[in-house]
Amino acid sequence: MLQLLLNGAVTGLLLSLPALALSLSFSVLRFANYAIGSYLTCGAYLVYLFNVLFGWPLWIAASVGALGLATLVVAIDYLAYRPLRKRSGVTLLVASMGVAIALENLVRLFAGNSPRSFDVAVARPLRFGGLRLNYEQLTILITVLTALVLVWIIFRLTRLGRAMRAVADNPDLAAVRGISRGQVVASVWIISGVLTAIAGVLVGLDANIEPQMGWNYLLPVFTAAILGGIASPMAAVAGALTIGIAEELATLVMPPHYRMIVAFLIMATLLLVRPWGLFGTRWVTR
Amino acid sequence: MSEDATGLVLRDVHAGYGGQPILHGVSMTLRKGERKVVIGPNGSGKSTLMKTAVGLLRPLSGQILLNGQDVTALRASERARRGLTYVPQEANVFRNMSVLENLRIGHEFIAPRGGLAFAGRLEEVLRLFPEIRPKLGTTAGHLSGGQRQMVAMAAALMPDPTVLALDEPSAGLSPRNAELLFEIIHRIADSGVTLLLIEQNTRLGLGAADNGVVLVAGQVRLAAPTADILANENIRRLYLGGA
Amino acid sequence: MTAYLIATLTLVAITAITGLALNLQWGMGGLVNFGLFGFYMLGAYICGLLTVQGVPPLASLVGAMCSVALLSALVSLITVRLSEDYLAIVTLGFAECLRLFISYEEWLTRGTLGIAGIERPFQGLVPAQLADTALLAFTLIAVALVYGALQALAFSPFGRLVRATREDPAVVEALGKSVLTVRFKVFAVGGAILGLAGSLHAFYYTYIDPTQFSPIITAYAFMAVVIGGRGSNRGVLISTFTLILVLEGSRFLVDWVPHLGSSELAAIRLILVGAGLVLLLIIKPDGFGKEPRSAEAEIRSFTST
Repeated sequence: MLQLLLNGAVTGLLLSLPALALSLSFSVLRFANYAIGSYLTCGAYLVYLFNVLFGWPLWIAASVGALGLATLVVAIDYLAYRPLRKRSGVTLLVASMGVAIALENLVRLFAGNSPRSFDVAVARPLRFGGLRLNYEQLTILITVLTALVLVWIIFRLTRLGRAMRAVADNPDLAAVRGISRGQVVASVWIISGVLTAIAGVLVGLDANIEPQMGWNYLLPVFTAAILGGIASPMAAVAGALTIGIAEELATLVMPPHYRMIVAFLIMATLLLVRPWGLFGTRWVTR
Repeated sequence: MSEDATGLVLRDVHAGYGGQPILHGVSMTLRKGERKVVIGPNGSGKSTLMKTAVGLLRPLSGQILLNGQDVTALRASERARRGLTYVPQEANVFRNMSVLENLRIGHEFIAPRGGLAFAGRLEEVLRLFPEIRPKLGTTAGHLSGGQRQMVAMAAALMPDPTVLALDEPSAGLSPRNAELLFEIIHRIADSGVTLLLIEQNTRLGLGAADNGVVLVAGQVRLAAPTADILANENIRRLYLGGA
Repeated sequence: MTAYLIATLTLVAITAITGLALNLQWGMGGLVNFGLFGFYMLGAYICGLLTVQGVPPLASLVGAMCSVALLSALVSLITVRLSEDYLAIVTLGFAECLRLFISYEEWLTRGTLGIAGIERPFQGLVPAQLADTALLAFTLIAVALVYGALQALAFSPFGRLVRATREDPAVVEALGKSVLTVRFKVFAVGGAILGLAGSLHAFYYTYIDPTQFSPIITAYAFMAVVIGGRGSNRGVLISTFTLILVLEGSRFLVDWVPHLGSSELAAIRLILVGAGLVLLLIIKPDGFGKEPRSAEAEIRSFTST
């Protein structure tokens, strides 16, 4: 039981980075980016490229890959989303789906369909009393917690963080107060890109790297963000932990391949009962 | 009056939404240190005038000068950095942020132009608004309407602007709270800032300003010292609803 | 060569039907259905399962249409209290879950083994060598019927109500019509059409398995509507029978282009679909077709009724 909770917490942490990224971009741009899954895939493959093909140690490959993905994400915003920003949010949704399909197949074109894995040594799991924690889980735990603390510091204590929260809160007033929306948008995409790339590496460590990997995370990531109240980034982390633990506990009564159904059921119930999110405050469209 | 002593100038401004003009050639001059109020009936274009002046709305034609420089093409954020700050009518604080954060944001993105650093400005502004000192840690969204107006004005004053533009500060306040707020506006005006005020409540608005502009159907109908406007029976009857 | 042409045309005609369904939901109604492929898959499976149980093909087809219509409408109810933005993720989630369910519930669906030996309509009446041609004819008739029905709907008071809901739900609510009812009905009708498309898919391949159904089906439908012009049924038909035909036709290039494998070719095709979707939304937001009437005229005419 405790083991399940631990595994669930780790799964939740894994989800929390892309959920945070999704909700961050939503809070500032007011559109749900369906390409987040393919960003994750691209991040994992970029890091794979540096790690396996160039032979760099994983942490260097991951850092360079994260910056690479951040650049890509900013470029996509510039080319695809910016020209559509004045249109309805629904148009942006469809455009992000187009981006998702193009990116995923770009990966397929260059890397093929077969699963791959990073070049890391296999280590024995650690044991604490009856609890088993394998090396990948430990990496996830440490990396995600560090990333979350850093994002929290940026968010709460820096000038950039205040600018991001100000634009999310009231874009018109933010402009009047001298905040450049363009710079905030770019920073949000950079942070999202870095977080998603890290998540891609961690998912790749935990399972395999394959073109479908990000797509498989799309539903739980959205569910986590909606649980948190979609426009409140830090609440998305709480949402992600809830999903992770719920998915893990559900394996007691359901076969493990139905995790996604658990996420869907949670989302459907939530949307019917508490559409403004479990942890967030009410957000009204338009 | 030389150009560089001038705070804000609008020259033959036409502006509106979706190509439909609401302002039809508005000109006005706001001298440094002047307190000017724009009054007029509903739908006369007061809010459009304010949005155009501060840079939220680009004029269809005409020119806007700030401290002698042409700022017509500049956005609101850039005009703010040149010394024109603005308090919108509604949604004028960051509701999910604390009062202190609101004040900090008011300061840090608008270059201080050699003025005092944040801590110093904070002290000066809090001296004008002692009422919000105990509320610094409160989330702005939890404040009352009057307190929120004060926070919004305080945030706009943080960068020590040359021109402060207030869009209907009394909107949504009880008569008593509106009176209190205007006492504070008097305090601000006495501190020497140039004030552009748009007000529905003509009695309070005229009382707070040196000069008044009566805007009707997107055109300036009258520009005169407030005392003259108050003394003019016709204007009071026609535009001020006998106030 | 003729066989290729018939095969491609049949697939394109099926795509046209999904495009028409999406044009009702998204084009006219503004409702984003990312889970389109799920409803399509459901139609294929219900129809396939019924025929292999011995139900006549036409009856299976009707059964599939009715059940998909019902389920689709029920899914739209999940977002009863929300804006249409959430519909996108709910439908997508539903479709992905359905795919999982079909892949793993082997007792019902034979899982990844798939269902073989699906009987086509009028199979006994047509000589074997003409079977594909007959199915193409059947599919084209279906396209014509769906087109006719949707055109009639577009010009009916309900069609006006749907477009008005897309433009301004608040006005519709203020006039005393329920936006939710509109959403419910649009999803029911769209679901029936998708059930039809899925059934035709099952008839065409006579064998179905979960790998045949992916979000790409959704992407093609969106492509068809974006090119055709949102709200224009004729535009959707024209766009599917030109651009989608070219895209689908490129499937058979693999025999002539020596260096590209079929998976590379598929990837390139989908990159073009994805990038093309974004590009078209940017440069040609109204597509190449035209909606019967301008949206404002729509609201006005609706308000005056």
